[in-house]
Amino acid sequence: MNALATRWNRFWFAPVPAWPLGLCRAWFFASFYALYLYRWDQRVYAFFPEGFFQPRSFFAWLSLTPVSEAAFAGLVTGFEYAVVLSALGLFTRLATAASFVLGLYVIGYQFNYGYLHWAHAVVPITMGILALAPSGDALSIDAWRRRAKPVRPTGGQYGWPMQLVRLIFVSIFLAAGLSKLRAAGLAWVTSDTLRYYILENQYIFQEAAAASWGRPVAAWLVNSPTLCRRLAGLSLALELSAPAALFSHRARRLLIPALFVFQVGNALLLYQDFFFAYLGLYAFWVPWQQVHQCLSRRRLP
Amino acid sequence: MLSVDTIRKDRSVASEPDAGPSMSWTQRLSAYAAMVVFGVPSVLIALMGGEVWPFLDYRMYAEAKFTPEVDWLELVGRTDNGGSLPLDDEAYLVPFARSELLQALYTLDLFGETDAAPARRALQGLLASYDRNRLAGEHHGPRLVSLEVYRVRWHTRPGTSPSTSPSTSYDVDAVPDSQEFLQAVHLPQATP
Repeated sequence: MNALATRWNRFWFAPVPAWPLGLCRAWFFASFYALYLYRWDQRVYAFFPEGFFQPRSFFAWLSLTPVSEAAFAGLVTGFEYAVVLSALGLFTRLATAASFVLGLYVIGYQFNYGYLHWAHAVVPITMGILALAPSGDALSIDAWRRRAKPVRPTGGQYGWPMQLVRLIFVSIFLAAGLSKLRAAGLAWVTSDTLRYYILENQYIFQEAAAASWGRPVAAWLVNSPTLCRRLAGLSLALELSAPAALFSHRARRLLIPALFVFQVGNALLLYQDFFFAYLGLYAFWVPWQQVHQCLSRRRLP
Repeated sequence: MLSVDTIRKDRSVASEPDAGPSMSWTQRLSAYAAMVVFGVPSVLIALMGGEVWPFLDYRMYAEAKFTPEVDWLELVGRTDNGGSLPLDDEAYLVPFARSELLQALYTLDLFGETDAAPARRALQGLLASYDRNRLAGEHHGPRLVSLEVYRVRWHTRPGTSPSTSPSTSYDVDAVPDSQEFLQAVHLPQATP
């Protein structure tokens, strides 16, 4: 029992410095703002035509109805400010909490209109984790402002948020893998499923396909059923083995870059670009202390 | 600025097996709250399936697909003089992207298997929205009096058949192999 508690504490609460968490917070919010909020004005989602509203999740439980255009625009503006302040680390606790609450509503709002962008969901979850963590204790304007009375620079409180985001990250890939096994079984690998999806998306997303760098590769790939099946097997194995990255450093070194390449493949072959959400999450896997140590050694004579 | 000594110190502390007691009670409470609120539902839904926004089972592309047939929808607007306008320009469909709109129509029982009324209401809303945006100068499409939905099918042929449509440069067939009329809605004042 004691050994189990020690392993639990070592996994979640091993003392780590505050700055990698601060760096991940800044990178996550900044990349989400630059790749998503800055590029797509969320205010347009107040203009869905009547008749499409099908409330899901807490929108249904709380009987929430569509809000006015002005109210929605106000919520979006609040969300944008909260995300920017969270990236800068100014009023970090308040800003990350506001990002979570407003993000849950603003990003979730469009899902009441009949379609689902799978990649968005991890964004408010990560925001919620960072709101509960002391993510503004380093690399933030808050930390700079209170430099006269420094907070504890190292502790278990900076480790668990990183581990929890990693757990969420791998659970997404595990969920995708298990969904395939539940819905299709091994036929997902042994049939031409992946090949036909690549083909189908060339018809459904014709404009994205025409603009994609991956289109020639997709066109070449669909001519080889065997290669498509191997790729399907590799993808499924990768998704199902993603949790190993949590427990083994060796597995992490292999799996995380492989998952990144897998997502690049999704963007190029299936035209599903998830990087606005996931680029920020990859930062939580970077061994920042070792990176800093390497860079510091290089600077030494 | 972080120094090598700081990093060495960090690493030596990080190697301690159990640092739990170094955290305050509130810090530990926050950690467990986050694990319960975010970690547990994520893992449970990953293992068991289901959907409670923002916890999802990521079942995109999960179904087996045994035929190369593509089954999709097409929206066509009709003008006063009977002319047709395929609604494939996203300026007409804001805030939907085209694929999102068609997916949304699928979820509204467009084929009328149980109740066609919600899909009909949504199409009327879409036509009214098109007209409102046109009058506001948001797009330069013609006035439409009705909106028709078709089910279109392609039997995909990898690596063959350059486009038969002069308006596109894709090497997939822009013209479907079959097209089936599903339903039409009219602007209230333009009902025939």
